[in-house]
Amino acid sequence: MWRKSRGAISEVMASVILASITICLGLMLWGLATGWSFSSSLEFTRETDESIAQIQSSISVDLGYMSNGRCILYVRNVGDTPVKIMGVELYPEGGGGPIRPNFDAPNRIERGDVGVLTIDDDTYCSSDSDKAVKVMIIYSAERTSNDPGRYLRFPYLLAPVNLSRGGSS
Amino acid sequence: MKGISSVLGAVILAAIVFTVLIPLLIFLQNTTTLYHLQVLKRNRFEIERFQENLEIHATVSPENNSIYLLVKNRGSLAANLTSIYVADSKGGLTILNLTENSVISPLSPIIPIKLDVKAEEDKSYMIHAATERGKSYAAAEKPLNIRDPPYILQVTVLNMKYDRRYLITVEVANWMSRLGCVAGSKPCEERVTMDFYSLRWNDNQTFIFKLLPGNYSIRVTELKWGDTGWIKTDELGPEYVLVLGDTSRIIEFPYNPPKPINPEKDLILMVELPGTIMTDKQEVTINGSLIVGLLQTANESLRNLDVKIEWKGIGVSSIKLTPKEITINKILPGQVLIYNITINTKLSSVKNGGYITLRAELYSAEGERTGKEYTDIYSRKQTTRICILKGGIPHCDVPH
Repeated sequence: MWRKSRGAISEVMASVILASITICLGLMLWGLATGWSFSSSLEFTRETDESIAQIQSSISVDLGYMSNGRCILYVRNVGDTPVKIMGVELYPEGGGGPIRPNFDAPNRIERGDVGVLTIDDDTYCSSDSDKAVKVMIIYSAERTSNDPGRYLRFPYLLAPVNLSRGGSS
Repeated sequence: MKGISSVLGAVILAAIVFTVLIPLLIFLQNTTTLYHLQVLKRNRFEIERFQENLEIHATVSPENNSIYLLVKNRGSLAANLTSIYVADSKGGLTILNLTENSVISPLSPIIPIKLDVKAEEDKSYMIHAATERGKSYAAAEKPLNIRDPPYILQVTVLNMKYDRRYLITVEVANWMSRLGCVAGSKPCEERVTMDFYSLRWNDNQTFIFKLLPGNYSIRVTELKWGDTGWIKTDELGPEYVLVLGDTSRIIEFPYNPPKPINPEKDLILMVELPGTIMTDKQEVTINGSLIVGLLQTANESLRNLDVKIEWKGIGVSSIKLTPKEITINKILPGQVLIYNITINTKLSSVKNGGYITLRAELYSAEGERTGKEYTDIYSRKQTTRICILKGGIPHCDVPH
């Protein structure tokens, strides 16, 4: 009886050891789950924020006209976040394009503000050409401007207008 | 004691579920809700943008040629105009940022907005208005040019009377402010009058005016020639018309039913001959006139008039009348026709004179409006006495 009792651990000890192992593993699992949850929520927040920014950004063109080889567009930010014009493509009437001309635009257009987008192209921005051109404005919410995957496109058909000839052609 | 680990494991799992998974799910749910709220907001914005519907016209004040916008909200939502762009044909661009009185309520009346730009005759203008929702509207007048008003106002006047003068006046009306102008002798006038003289009963005519958008009054005045010149006898209007495109109006005078003429009062049928002819020859030629006409007051014109001349002579052996009969295609009220008549006659004797009596007869005629036949209408008799001169002494006796 004595030998037997010296060679084994008590039930209490065994239970304590098992409980300790369970607690350690549990804490480890809890820690992993917390870390995963935290990183996932961060990633999800970032994704959602970018999606919301995309939804919140919206532009319109108040006025567009051609003048001396330039297409001039008054771009209004009608969204809920500042936007930035990232690029411009031209699609001439009758096919062709995209043509990526030089353009000048404000660095940032605040909510409700109007920015002037000037496109230099002697061929397609001439009111004497009698040909319309589709201007594709590539823009983005300012906070997603470093992610080309989030860029949005706004098409605007610009028809040549010659007022001195008495109307739109 | 044996099941303590199981209990602890269960507690830890429950802790993980309640402290990690459930908060994570709630967080994800909230974030997704935020995203969907933004999507809904954007959808609402886009729907509002689709529903926004303004009608914009450009016109000028006739006093100083200031450009005005006439804005009509045809949609179900209020719209806020934020900017107005006025581009002219000389390359000028004026941008007006509106700060007040720029909210256009749905179903509101047309609202005039004065722009601080004056239209010049040698320039054309394109006007765009942008709203807060990002819609841009071009004024329907593309381009606005005060030398070439774009719209036509067609005024049809019905039942104009015969022999009356009509003045058709189109004038810029005083409606909120005086806006618009009409092309007349000058390109842009406040009032233009067209003059028409009617030569038919119940005449219908259409008069065309070129004008800019605005509210106009139309007035038609009827005049009749009287002792002191043209006297106003009737007037219709003013009738107000809002011109935002090609427009037409009908102005109707009372219908004048056809009435026959009174031949005794309205018809002129006369033969004119000299009272006495002196001659020393047996053969005599007498010149006279036949006068046929209608007084101005006659109710209708006559068509296909057949007029015959009857004669009777005493102391004459032969008479040759040229012409004996006259046919007239049409005679209008106020119109009088005179025909020469030649009578070649021969006296019965060189010693005595004679008498010739003529009378005209309206043998047949047809009333133009009533279709009534007018027959057996005679003129008064007209007699010429022929006297023979013998030694300078006239002998007018007629042999029995």
